[in-house]
Amino acid sequence: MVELKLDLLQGTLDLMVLQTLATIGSQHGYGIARRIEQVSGDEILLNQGTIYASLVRLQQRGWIAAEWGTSDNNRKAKFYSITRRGRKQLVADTAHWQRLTSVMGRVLAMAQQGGIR
Amino acid sequence: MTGGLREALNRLRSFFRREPLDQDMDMATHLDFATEENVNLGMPQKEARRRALIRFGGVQQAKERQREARGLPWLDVLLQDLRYTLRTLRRDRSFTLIAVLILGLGIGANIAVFSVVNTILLRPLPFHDPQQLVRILTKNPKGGESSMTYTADAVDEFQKRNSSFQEVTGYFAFSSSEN
Repeated sequence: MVELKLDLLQGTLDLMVLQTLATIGSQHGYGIARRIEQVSGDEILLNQGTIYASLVRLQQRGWIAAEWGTSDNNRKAKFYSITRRGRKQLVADTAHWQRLTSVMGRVLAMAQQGGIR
Repeated sequence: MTGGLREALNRLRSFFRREPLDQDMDMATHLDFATEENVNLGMPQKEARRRALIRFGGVQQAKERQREARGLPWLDVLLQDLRYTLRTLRRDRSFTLIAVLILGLGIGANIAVFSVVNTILLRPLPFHDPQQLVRILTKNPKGGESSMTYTADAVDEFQKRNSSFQEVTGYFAFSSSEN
């Protein structure tokens, strides 16, 4: 059997979408979803449809912009790109996330070293 | 925190504008992309489409989530409930009538009692010893007490001859100054 995939924590998808758009520039929803799946090494359980709620949320906050365009294979699609405000938010969110994970890492490491009997 | 404010404003705007969900088309394109990629991997068209839908994870749910992130879902629900209430009330006329009557009578009686209590008990006249205050009238005036008037000369006369009261005064009861 395949190992269970990771469920996404609340709010992490928004951050992933922001980071993806900051890295690869303008992209359509499918492209963003595929990119996240590839980078994660297919370890996360991503219902691709949830991307669209995230995209709306980010748009509402003014962190990304959307524009209709044509894809490489001539399909009409909405292309999303990160805004200046979005980049600022990305820096802040990344810092927050790294602090959180480093604290979690330290706490869990302490337990393994025999801090708890 | 400006992100939160901007989001709130945008949600409000989406709620009132009711623009069509162009995300519908966005999602359709998404499935086309995914199907195409699967076909390129060598799957038959039907299977490619099926896999694409599975990966997407429920188009309706995605639309629902998207709608929730977009407008004001709680207000939508509230309006829905209100419309439902009005429809139900319209269907069951006798119930509506009785409910309105009971509420109307209850509220009316309360207001009547309160306004009496308010003027008599809670807000007495703005003079000290209000129980000593009297109004000078003729017996059984035709149009009720408030229709009784005296000329200024009469008031002067009352004041001059007064021996029973501490003081006599008059007041002008009309809003125009033509009398």
